[in-house]
Amino acid sequence: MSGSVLERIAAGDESAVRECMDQYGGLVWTLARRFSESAADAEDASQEIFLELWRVAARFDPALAPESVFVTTLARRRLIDRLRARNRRPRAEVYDEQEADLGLTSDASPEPLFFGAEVAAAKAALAELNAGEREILLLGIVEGMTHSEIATRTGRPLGTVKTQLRRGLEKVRRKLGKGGDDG
Amino acid sequence: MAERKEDLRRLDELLLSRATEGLRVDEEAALRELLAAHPDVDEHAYDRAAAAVWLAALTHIDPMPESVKRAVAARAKR
Repeated sequence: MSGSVLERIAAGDESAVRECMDQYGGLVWTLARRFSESAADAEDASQEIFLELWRVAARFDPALAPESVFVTTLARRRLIDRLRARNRRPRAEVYDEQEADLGLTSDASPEPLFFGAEVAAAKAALAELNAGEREILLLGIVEGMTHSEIATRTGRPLGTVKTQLRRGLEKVRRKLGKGGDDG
Repeated sequence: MAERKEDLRRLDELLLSRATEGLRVDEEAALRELLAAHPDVDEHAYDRAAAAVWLAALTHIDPMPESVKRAVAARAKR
């Protein structure tokens, strides 16, 4: 049986289930740990994410996004919903300016762990944002802050935060749509 | 015309919120209603962009513990 691991799961290939965990377990676990208060909570979230992933594997469309983006999209949505339901913030990891920089200005930047046009496009789009816009986008996406929390953290009005989040994601969307080749 | 424009503005706002901070139950209901009225809108576009940003920012990956993999596999078999 050929095809991506999600396509094989959708086709009923049981061996692909373990393969999917081997391929994306670290990604899901890393995201779950960041969005969970404890390892037990992250474990529960990881189980939910994989079970949902297998349920919806047939919806994966390689024409829209690569598997890693599909998995991350689903995982983030599930984790955000869990946080929202419990009315709490992600684990209080200190915002790391070095991480926020993404190596965008450093020659010694780490290579992205997941390659592909989409990730390259996102990185290119981030590099085009001004520092303030990039900070807001990373606080919202990477740190998982709410819009209000970002406003408090940065001292910017809530409306400005929403506008800059939208602008940042729109820029990434446009890059994704063009395969990252619009300059 | 004005109503459609307002619908699309609200729809965009809800999709942005869903992709970044999540929605309240009432907002989820409003989103479902608006998406049903505007099936041409790509409802996952912000989510994909947010996922790509997160992947681009990823500097390390923690391996999933074997115990968690076993637990996931056990639940999958139920």
